[in-house]
Amino acid sequence: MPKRDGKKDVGAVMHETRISATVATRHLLLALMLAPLLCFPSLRAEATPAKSPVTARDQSGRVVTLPAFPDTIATIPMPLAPLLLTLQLDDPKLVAMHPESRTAIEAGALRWLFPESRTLPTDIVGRGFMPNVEALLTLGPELVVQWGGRGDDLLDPLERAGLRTAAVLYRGREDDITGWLELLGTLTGSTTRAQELLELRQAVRHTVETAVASISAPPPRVLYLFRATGGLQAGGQDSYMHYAIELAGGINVAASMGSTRPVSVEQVLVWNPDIILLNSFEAGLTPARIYQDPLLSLTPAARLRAVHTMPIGGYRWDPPSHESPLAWLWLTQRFWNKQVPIDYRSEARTAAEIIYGDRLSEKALRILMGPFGGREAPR
Amino acid sequence: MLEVHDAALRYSGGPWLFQNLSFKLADGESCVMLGPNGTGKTTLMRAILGNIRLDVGRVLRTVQPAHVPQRLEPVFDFSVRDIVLMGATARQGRRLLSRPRLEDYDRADEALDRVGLAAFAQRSFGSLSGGERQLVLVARAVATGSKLIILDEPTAALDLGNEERVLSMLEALKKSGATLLMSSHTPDHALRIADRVLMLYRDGSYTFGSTQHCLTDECLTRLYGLELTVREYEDTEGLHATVARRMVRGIG
Amino acid sequence: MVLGYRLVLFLFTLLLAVVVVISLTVGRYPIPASEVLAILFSMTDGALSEEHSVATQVVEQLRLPRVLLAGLAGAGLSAAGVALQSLFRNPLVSPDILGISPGAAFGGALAITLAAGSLATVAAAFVSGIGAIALVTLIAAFNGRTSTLALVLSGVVTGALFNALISLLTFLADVESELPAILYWLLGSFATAGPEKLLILAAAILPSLLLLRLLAYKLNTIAMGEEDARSLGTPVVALRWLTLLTVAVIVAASVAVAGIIGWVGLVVPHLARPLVGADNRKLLPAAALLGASFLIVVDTLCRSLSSSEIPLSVITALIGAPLFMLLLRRAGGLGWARA
Repeated sequence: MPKRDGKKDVGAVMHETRISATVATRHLLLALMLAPLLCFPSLRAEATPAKSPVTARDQSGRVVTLPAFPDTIATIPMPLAPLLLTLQLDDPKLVAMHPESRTAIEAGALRWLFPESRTLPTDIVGRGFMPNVEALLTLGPELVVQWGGRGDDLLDPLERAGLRTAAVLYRGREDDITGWLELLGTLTGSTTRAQELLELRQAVRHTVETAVASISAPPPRVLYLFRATGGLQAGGQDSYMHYAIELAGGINVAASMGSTRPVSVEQVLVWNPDIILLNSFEAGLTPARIYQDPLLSLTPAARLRAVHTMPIGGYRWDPPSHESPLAWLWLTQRFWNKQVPIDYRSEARTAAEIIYGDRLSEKALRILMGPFGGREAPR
Repeated sequence: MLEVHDAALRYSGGPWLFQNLSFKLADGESCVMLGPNGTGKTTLMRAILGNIRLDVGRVLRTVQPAHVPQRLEPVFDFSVRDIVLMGATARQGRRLLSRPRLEDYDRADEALDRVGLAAFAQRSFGSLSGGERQLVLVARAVATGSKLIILDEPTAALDLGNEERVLSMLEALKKSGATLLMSSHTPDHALRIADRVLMLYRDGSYTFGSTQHCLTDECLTRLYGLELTVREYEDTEGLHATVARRMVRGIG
Repeated sequence: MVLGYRLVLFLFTLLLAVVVVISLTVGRYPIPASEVLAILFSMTDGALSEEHSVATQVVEQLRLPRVLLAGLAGAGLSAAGVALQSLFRNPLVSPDILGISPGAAFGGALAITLAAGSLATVAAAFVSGIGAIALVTLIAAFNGRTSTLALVLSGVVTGALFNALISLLTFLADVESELPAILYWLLGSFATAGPEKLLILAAAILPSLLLLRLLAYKLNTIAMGEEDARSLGTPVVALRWLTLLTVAVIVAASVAVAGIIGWVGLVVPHLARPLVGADNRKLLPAAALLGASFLIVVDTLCRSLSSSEIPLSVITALIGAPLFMLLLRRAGGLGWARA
């Protein structure tokens, strides 16, 4: 407590000054720490030479340049991991993937087709699709594949850390997947193989389209339920299932919605679908759930026992993937069965052989063929 | 120093607390406001301080008064010195970014010294007894340097000892030339320190005049609705001042 | 229980420095502490590092922006909490009650739904947050009352309104791409820290801190009660609006760069007050320093406890709530006046 003499004046002044000084020092310190940051250019690992043998424009329009075909690739979007595995069939360069990719691999035949992928690290993702940059830097992949069109926050951190990134898009269209194959084919030097896979998709598309076009019967009304436990969510016209449904000659009853949206049971009853497709994500979800539901069992789909769960072959068949041709064939079978002159099993087998080549074992084949029913004719 | 002209005030929609109220206080005069609860003493004070508006009439004052509220309960624990300092800086006027200067600290310390609480400067306000707190608030008023001090029942919650301390302090202030306007429930206080008395009756009327003039049996009886008598004691030498001037309250 | 102020301030500054250095050392990418210190020194020397090593990048481009961002936000929110607790004369007040957080969150969520870029999201959140406080004052004024109670009530109403609008947005958003982005953003994270966001937050918070510090003395007087403050020469109305506006700038900027961060503005003032007393001139800087350390620690936990980032709100609540309960139990020695 300052005494009432000359010392106090100084004391009070010092007191005030010191506080202000401390505050000012702190501000100054912060400013000092900021300054170098502002001077610091955003770093890219482009210190290397002008000669870049690998260049491509990714789906966000950015130019990706790599010094050579990458030996190590990390994928963040879920379907891109299996896509890369099948693209580089004999010697995949995948070193890390999204944890959901691993879940999907474990759920289907891929765990036998690519057993080495089961031990790859998956901690490269923060939340959602936010990259865990430090984990990626520890791994040091030569290429990272990430979603584009979902905000700079998914891509900027990778750029700033100097990781080479290729952005892919998903807008619910087949063009998206053909784009993935072309882009990755170029970047990994597997253009021939990419072409092979593209032509397969093209061929199966053509088969299905022509077969379906020749039908005069009215198309089935189809509903895809993206979620069916704890509330219903249906796939609208921007979802990939919309494309697959329409390709196979069905009508997506939820087409009036933009993307995947929650819907009420009443809305489903109004739509009155002939066929209900259940997602392959939710554990424990079976057609019985629809059949036993007091209201949903009133739909034609339920009454005619036309509720199917989207299968998991090597990978889930609802989202776009490298196995989409199998999904298309299966859907066509569900919608039309014998009304359409396609030998489903034969077509599917051919597709599987092209997609998986030498890796295709009997066990895996059985799983892939399973959804089509019937038995494999011995070869 | 202070002039109130034709003041009238009421709570919205209610009856008038008082009407046509006029009085003047000259420099150095002190006035005690008496009246039962609900007659508008506190409200009139708020109007004089400028916190509320009179419905009718005007308040004229030559200085910004200092306020000693009946109670101060700050939510956070400030030190005694902080509280008094706030009075010292009141002079600076309504500037947002002002801060205490050296002379403000000086004045605060002086004021604390004057009320005899210099040793309490760093203690927390909440840790003081009622009387001590009141003295701190008086110190705060003194620190403002204002010549007009308005006190709202300053001894209402105090025991005899503390009441005495505060009253002595007020006497000293009066001696040093301050103008005091104080409300109270104890007519003795008027005898002790007031030149003038303002009585607010329940029916909305009032009396303003010198202490001798107003502190009569009739006025007091009318004021409180109780039969009251004023007794004077001849021999007050040697008796404790307060007791000597204590009024005898009797029925009948 | 009031320690020497200078000592406390020194300790808090020291704590902040230690927390900063430790946080820069923590992370998935292994960098030894000695190297971290070396990188820091080469930075403050002013000499631009020619080393483009990964470690330098990690420290300078990844961790440092985050740490600085968290520190700024923590300091700002804590100071805002101190100011509001004085302004509203209520120890339970925090910057969250005025509806600014949901207001800013709504702006950001809207920008995400419209697929605006990252900087546009920040701008939208900021504007929306300021809009929220404007709405609060309008509602209060419209009802002819601008007392602090009326402001709090208006804040509650505005907050509820914006929360409802956010819910509406989450319903309309694309379930697969936009909705997760919105939800993660709402929960709060410094993961998207970068030089631009750092600049924006610094530009908002540093002047605000300075202004609050200048207003600190008058805020002391208003803790006595508005009428009392007025008779002490405090311009109550002007003080109230200026304080609210400054708090709004701090909160809106914080939400804009990092999503909703709760608890900091409530708990940190109560941590600092027993140590330095209630005088805002001392409490504001002390709380700001302590708050900076607090939020940096929280953020470091968020990014290092698991590979998947834990949202800020989770950790601030998990730490803040028990801490607050502990403080309540010891309320006698808190620096709150005894009732």
